Amino acid sequence: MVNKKIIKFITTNFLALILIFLFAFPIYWMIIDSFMPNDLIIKWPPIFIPNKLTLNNYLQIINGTPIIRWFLNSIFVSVAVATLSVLIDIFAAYALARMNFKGRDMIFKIILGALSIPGIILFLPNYVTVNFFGWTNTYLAIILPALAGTFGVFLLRQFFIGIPRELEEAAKIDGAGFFSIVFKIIVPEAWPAIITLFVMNFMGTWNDYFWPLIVLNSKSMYTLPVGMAAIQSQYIQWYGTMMAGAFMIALPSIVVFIIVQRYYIKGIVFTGVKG
Amino acid sequence: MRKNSIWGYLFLLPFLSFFGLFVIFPLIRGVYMSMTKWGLYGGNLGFIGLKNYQLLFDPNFFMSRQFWESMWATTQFMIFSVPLFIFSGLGLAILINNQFLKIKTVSRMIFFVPVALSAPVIAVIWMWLLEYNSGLINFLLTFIGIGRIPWLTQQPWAWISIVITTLWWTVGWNMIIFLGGLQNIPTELYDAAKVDGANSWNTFIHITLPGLRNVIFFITIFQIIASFNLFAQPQLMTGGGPGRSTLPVMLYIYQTAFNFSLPYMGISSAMSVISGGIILIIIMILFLTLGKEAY
Repeated sequence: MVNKKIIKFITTNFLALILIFLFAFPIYWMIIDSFMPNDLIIKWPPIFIPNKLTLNNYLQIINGTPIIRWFLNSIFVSVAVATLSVLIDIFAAYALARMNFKGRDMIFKIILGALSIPGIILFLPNYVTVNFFGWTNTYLAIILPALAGTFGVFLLRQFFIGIPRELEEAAKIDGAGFFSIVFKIIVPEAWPAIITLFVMNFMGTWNDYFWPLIVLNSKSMYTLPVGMAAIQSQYIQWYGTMMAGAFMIALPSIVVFIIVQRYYIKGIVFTGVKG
Repeated sequence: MRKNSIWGYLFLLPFLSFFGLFVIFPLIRGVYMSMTKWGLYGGNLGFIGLKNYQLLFDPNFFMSRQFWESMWATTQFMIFSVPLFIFSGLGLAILINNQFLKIKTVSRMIFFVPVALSAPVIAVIWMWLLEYNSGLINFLLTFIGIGRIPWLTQQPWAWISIVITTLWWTVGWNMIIFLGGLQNIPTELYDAAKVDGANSWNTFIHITLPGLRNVIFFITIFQIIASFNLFAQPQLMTGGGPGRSTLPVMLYIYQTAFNFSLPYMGISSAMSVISGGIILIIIMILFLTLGKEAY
């Protein structure tokens, strides 16, 4: 009996270690190659643990491409989308969770139903709309369509419904208006859900490739993923340089994810299992 | 009550304006555009009814052939990926939920980290790992005597490369959803099974799988929608090749619609509408067959 447990213990943890190695290795390879001189990278057999590191790949990509500008573009649109959509979604979710008005349930059903509209139908007409307003090649082309995401409203509404009503009743008796109820009672209570949503929106915009590829066409307006794809052919033989660029995109989202993973994972499970 | 209702609409107004402009309006306009000749620069060049659809169902028209070839590529990806991604996600979740696992938090984090990466990032990493001459994977294969494999330029390797890359990239997401599902199964059920002397396979078939019914249903639908969004991996890794074998619908629609010289926005919209319709039909069939029991 004891033996059986030991064997199970060893096989389980051994299997997990192998999988951890397989999942982490490509990321390790990207990081290590981004710090290796190109002639060592393409050595055969490959060098797994280099004895010489260099920043040349980073210098090359910073000097040879507008990657710093792309970095700033990405930061700006990601923070803007995350902040604005959290604000908009808080109000919409509060109205749907707590306020009584005609058509409320109908509106919620439409928003919920919209989750199943395939994006493949929407992107061409949305391009035409963005173009019509003259937003192509501006930050607005990225920011405004992202504010229509229904996921956040759904997530926050579910969370708000779980907040005890008594907290609000007391404030209402004290004569508090809807704005102060939202900011003084709901927001502090729903903090984990709000952080989750902020991070999801930030990472979604930071990593988005397809939509920015369509609406941005001048090099100085690119976000990091679009810029990265655009220089792919230029640096096709310079793997170290490409890995340096890839790591510059990956690092912020990995760091943000590791810091808030607890909330983030809870948010996905919350909506995934209940949705 | 009256005051309450005005505030309700006001609170919803900002969200609903964006929702209306970028979700509801394009839904209608997309269908309208599919019935026009529409140029990237020229805009609306006239209403032509169902002509675009007629062309897309005419086997002699070159775009029709290419569109359905792309639909086949998307279907292939769906067949290869959906079951694989679901079972791998479930496997990882079961591993992490295992009482004997001591490195739970680290495992969960590492399996999920690739989800946090952008498509071009995963594409360049894997293109380098799969590179023909000096890529690491071909080195290992040569080392054990198999020799180099043309991962990105020959079939079936091109599909295998795209599926493996996508598996690594997205499976953590399925794992997290499954973990949530596993934790919702009452532990008493497992205790009872133990008392009855059920082995782990029987426990899995009779308790775990039925307990995950809703979650599996949800992930299947999500994966089918995601298969139709396949774009960046073939665009960046295989260029749709070899030939046109890895050119999925999303990539083909992108290529035809953003054509600078020819007015193909209209017919591309028709392709979008057909694709969207197919997705909705698949989802509806799933709901009618499995969904009744799931919900």
